[in-house]
Amino acid sequence: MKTGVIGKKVGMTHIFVKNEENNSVQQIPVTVIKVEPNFVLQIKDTKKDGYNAIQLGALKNKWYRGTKPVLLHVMTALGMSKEDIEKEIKKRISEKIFTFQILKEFKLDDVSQYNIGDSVDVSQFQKGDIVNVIGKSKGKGFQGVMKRHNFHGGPATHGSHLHRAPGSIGMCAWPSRVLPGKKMPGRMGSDKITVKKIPIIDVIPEKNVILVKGGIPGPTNAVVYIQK
Amino acid sequence: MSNLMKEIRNHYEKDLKKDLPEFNVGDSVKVWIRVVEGSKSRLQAFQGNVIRKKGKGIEATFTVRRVSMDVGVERTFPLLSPSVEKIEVLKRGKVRRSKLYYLRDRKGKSARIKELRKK
Repeated sequence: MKTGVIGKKVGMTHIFVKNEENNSVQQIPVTVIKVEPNFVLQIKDTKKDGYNAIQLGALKNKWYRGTKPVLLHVMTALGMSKEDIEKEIKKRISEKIFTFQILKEFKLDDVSQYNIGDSVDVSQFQKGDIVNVIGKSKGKGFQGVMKRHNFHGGPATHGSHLHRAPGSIGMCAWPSRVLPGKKMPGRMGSDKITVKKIPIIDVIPEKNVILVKGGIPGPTNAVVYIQK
Repeated sequence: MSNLMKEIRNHYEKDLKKDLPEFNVGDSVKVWIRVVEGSKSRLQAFQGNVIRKKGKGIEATFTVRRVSMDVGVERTFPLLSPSVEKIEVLKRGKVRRSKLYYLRDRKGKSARIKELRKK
């Protein structure tokens, strides 16, 4: 992975893209992701930590106060001295001033170009880049096996009493237990889902917006991570 | 819908605005579509009644229904798509519904739409 950013899903629409060669027009479904500038808060390298990574902070939220350790971590990264930080934390705690809502580490191949306190934004992505988008899917609640695991279910008619039930869940006296990993009803959704290899259709730097092709997991306003 | 989403839609809609005639549900229209086959392109016409108009701005679509050889054919076009080159309004229709799905169940004489005459 070369780079990554934290963004927010804004919504979906479609755009028309013209092929210059033969003037054909394609209608492409896109998801709009808003990426406000992220800040590099920590850099990890192979010497010290055993792997290369950057930690980014995003989504300044004035209602989120943040715990003291988080505030300390963020302000050290942004280059404040110890005394200033203590003053600042006292002030912020009394006045409820923002800190970053999301801190996320991205494992990268090379971190030499990053410095602590740098801002990272949409400019590092270009039209045509292939990216992975990570998000948390919508929660579906407690669901049966047909919806959750795509079981076929039983016949609807002909006197059948087995409609949406899972059927047998195992063998008899041996092994007299249910095998681990057996697909059964339960909570569905709210999983971390990675959509791999989707192209970036357009980048609008003045609006801090990236358009990727197709859908991505999660509802509108969900936090998503884009990796290149 | 968030404001940002509106801005994004407007951003792409700007370049697409073209002079299309105003038409409503119930009108009889002829839609000319640019069809690209390999390196050649030609215009193809689809004529029928508008049975649905949907969406706003860049997402607006309309559906045209015609009965061809006793088989109902419906095509949905994105209103602002560059491949929709021209729309001709042939007849204005007088209808009392915004979606004419009832035409799907009708045949022959009862599937006609009254023409709107201006006083």
